[in-house]
Amino acid sequence: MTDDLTRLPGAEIARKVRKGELSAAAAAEAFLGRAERLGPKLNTWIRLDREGALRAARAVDEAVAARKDPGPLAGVPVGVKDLVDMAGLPTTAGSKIDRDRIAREDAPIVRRLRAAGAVILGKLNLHEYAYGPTGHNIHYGDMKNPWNPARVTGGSSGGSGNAVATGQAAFAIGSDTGGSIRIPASLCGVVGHKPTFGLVSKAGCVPLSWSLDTMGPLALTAEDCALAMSVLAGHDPEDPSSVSGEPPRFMDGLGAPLRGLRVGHARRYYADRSEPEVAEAVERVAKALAEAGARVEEVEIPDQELATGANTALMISEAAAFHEKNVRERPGDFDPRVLDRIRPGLFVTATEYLQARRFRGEWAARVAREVFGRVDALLSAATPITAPPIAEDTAPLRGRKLAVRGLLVSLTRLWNFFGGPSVAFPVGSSQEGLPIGAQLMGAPFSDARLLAAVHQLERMGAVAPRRAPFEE
Amino acid sequence: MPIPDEEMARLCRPVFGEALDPKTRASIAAQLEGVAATNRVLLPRLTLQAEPEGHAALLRRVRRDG
Repeated sequence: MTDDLTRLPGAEIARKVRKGELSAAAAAEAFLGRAERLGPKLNTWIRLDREGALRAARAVDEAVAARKDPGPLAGVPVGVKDLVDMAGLPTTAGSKIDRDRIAREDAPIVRRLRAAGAVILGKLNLHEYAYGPTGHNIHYGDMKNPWNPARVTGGSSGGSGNAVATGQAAFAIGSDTGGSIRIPASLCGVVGHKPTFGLVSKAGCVPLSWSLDTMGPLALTAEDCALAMSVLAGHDPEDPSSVSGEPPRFMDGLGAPLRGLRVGHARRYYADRSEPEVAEAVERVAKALAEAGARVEEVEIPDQELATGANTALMISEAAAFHEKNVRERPGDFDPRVLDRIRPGLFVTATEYLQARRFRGEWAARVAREVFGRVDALLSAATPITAPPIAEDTAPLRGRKLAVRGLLVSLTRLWNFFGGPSVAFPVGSSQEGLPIGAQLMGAPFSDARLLAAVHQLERMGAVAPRRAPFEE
Repeated sequence: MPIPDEEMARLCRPVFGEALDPKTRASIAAQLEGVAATNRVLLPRLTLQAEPEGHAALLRRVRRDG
């Protein structure tokens, strides 16, 4: 019975807790028990906060008993990527350098979660400083894929991905700078939402690249992502890039039908650059969308290579600026592979960086006009391959051996540069039984529409979220 | 053209306190050449109106106008 609770989506837990049918403390105990049992085997958590979680759960139960509104996330057990500040706990960012850096206060998104009645179970493992797409971590252990523990979770939010996939958390908070929510979502078989840039506050979160970073949820279903976003999204004066105005109404939009939705199928963007079984799975989604009444047409994305190059200039410069002091003073405390990624950014010239930023505005305006002026959503694979082995740096793609790191970000990073939302979701399994992920991208602030589309695909059975069978 | 190794060693020494090993230097040089190559291609395509805050302005515009 206890373990059964961990199979419930977050929205269902919140409904039951709000009605008094389930105690938040019982839900917290169930998820904590599972996290304590499975977490060490999958290197999911950097720190569990049993005491804090149970205290929060009891407060929710007391609110329900007193007939006070316990909040939309009443009793929902949540994990938070350990680059988000929680008062009194270290924010390690997956590093040795920040192992003992205690946060003085909660990040605004943590405050929002708590105010909504969420029960935060602890801090989730990640690629060091979120600077890597695989989920390797030499300090806290490589995150393991629950569908095959010899495979990577994807990263950088690898703990977030495997926590949700195994029912250690109903949903998890991740960050996404080049795919760090969507890649683990794709490889672990869950839904991951990279919101529009600036829609969710990143104050109190360790940055990787200020102009590309986004915070968002990973969950078992699109409805859970929408529920999480209904709490997370909103203007925050503490975050310089936070956008003003009312956030989208995420839950209200979930019933929107697929009929009439204009979907661009970005076949040339992903098909030849993905393994055949991945491309075939995405083709099936395109077919399901068309059968549901969506108008599906092929769409080209302009200047992909140039935008990808400019994106690199931005990201490596900003990451190097953030880490420069420690790179100069404590290089031996970094994972050498992460250090190798940080170093080049120290030599990008100021003009190269600024030209990349100038180009970004013009390119994004062009994509908004030429792509999202024609379609409401764009469909592609999320990752071109399924989860590769932890021990391998290369993976096969259509007969060639390519670097895993480049492959994993190849279909996601462009959308951080664009700045619009993207939702990764599971669309089947490979012959090896590993999840395959697709993604829908949209114009800025069309987040709710994308989540609604994935929700409809789930209802049709074209997307079948399920927990990973990992139990040992 | 990638930055010559000698030049890369000279650049690395004051930043990292050492010249780093040749393989690391080559990797940095290759990445920097990628950035420079991108810059060469995008530079002639930028309009006079293109400015570094253009992307933020676009988001504000979409937010306001839908």
